[in-house]
Amino acid sequence: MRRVAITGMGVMCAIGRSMAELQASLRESRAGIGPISLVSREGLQAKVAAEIRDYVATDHFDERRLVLLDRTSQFALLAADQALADSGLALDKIDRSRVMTVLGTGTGCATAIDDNFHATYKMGGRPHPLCVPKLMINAPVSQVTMAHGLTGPSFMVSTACASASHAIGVAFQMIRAGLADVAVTGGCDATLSWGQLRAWDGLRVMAPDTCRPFSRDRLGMVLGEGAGVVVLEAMDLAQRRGADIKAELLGFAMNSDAGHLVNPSVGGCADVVSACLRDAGLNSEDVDYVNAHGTGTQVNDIAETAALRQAFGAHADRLMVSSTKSMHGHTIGAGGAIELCATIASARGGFIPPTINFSEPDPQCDLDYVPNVARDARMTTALSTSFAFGGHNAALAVGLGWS
Amino acid sequence: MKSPYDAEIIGIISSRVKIDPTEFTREMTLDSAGLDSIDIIETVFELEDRFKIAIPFNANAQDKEKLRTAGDVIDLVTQLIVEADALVPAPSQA
Repeated sequence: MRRVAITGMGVMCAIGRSMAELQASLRESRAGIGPISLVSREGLQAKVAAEIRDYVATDHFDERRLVLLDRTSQFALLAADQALADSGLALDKIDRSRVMTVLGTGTGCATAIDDNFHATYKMGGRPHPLCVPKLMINAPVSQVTMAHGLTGPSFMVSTACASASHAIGVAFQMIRAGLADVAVTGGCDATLSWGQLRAWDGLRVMAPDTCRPFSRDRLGMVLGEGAGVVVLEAMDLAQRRGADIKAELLGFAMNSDAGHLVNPSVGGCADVVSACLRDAGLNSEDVDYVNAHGTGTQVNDIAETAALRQAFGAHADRLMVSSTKSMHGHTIGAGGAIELCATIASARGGFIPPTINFSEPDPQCDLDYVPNVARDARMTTALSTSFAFGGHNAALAVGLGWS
Repeated sequence: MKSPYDAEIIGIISSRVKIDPTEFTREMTLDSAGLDSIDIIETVFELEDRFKIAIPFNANAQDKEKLRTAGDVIDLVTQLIVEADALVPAPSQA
């Protein structure tokens, strides 16, 4: 099996529109959650979100092109541009049929769906003539292939909050297996439409003020938006061209709870972590840090803590665990990718990213959550976990000794 | 104390788990009646729609304790209806 390097990263989220900005935000515990400004707060129970503030689409794309680009596709394109530039790959000098593109999304193009169907059902108008190719769930990945002429395999993965991790994991497996040399992969979601926010309100799991993962006074999750994209490359090729290797993707696992539609299972989460360690050839003691799913709901944070204890045994007490969702919010289908980027950015900065808004320990959440401030520490091996609605679980293992 | 909305509230709760409304008591917990977390979210939603009220309920807060028994639901919903009635003209049917 071929080894797989991460040679490029790009991000668009509430605390970073570039990897440098993301790294600075993580180091400084910058809060990306604030009052919703994208849509009316009228009728919303949860009036906060982690928005990419002051984002102006026409600063990045011309108006004609925007006709086909939902906010989700825009973020995917911008993160992919960054990641490819960061990789240093000369796309015009390589066989682009060996470059695959796979992205995850939970909702897809939420704003385009809302706007067009509101116009149709409610206002008696018609959907925009190009709304189908704009709002189709595979639009973001298709746009990335067209922007860079990437003619290898491309597809979209949709497994709610595990989408990005599944996308990266499948791309990793395909490079390992020799089916592609390079992958542009990650996730994207911009779900902050008024209709989506109202829909999430109905689940009664949204925090009214902010996201406090693993803290006793946590009141639920806060939605975010954005995209994260990484460039994966066969290690032999990356080394041969003298690429700046940011990390090595060591292992991946996925499984299904096959239990409850929205509640996580400790067994399923623990098993996927153990399977990821086996896939990576790691022992529990090798892992320094876990970027947790850490949504800030009562149910997730307790189950995830128990799952990490089950998977890591005695080593759980020495493990550093944090939820960066406390800063960039829950970006749904982009989550696993943004969180992998956050993990690598922190490792390269020589620190562990914190769980902010942590005010009070919970007896049922008894791990080291790196509360409130980044910790100067070296991480050599880390895991990023995603546990989705629908019972889809994923874990990615990265080797960080490359910085 | 019986509220004029008792029967309808119990009807909404019991329909979720297909239990005869006459078998419900105020003391019966939603859990023992077989309502899971999803049933409770749907019940809250239906009660809000029916009575045009907003029930403060976040599954992550102690709100779950406020809605432990059928009596808890009746009392909270009745209180919210009364508060809403104080603001708008009384509903045509009780």
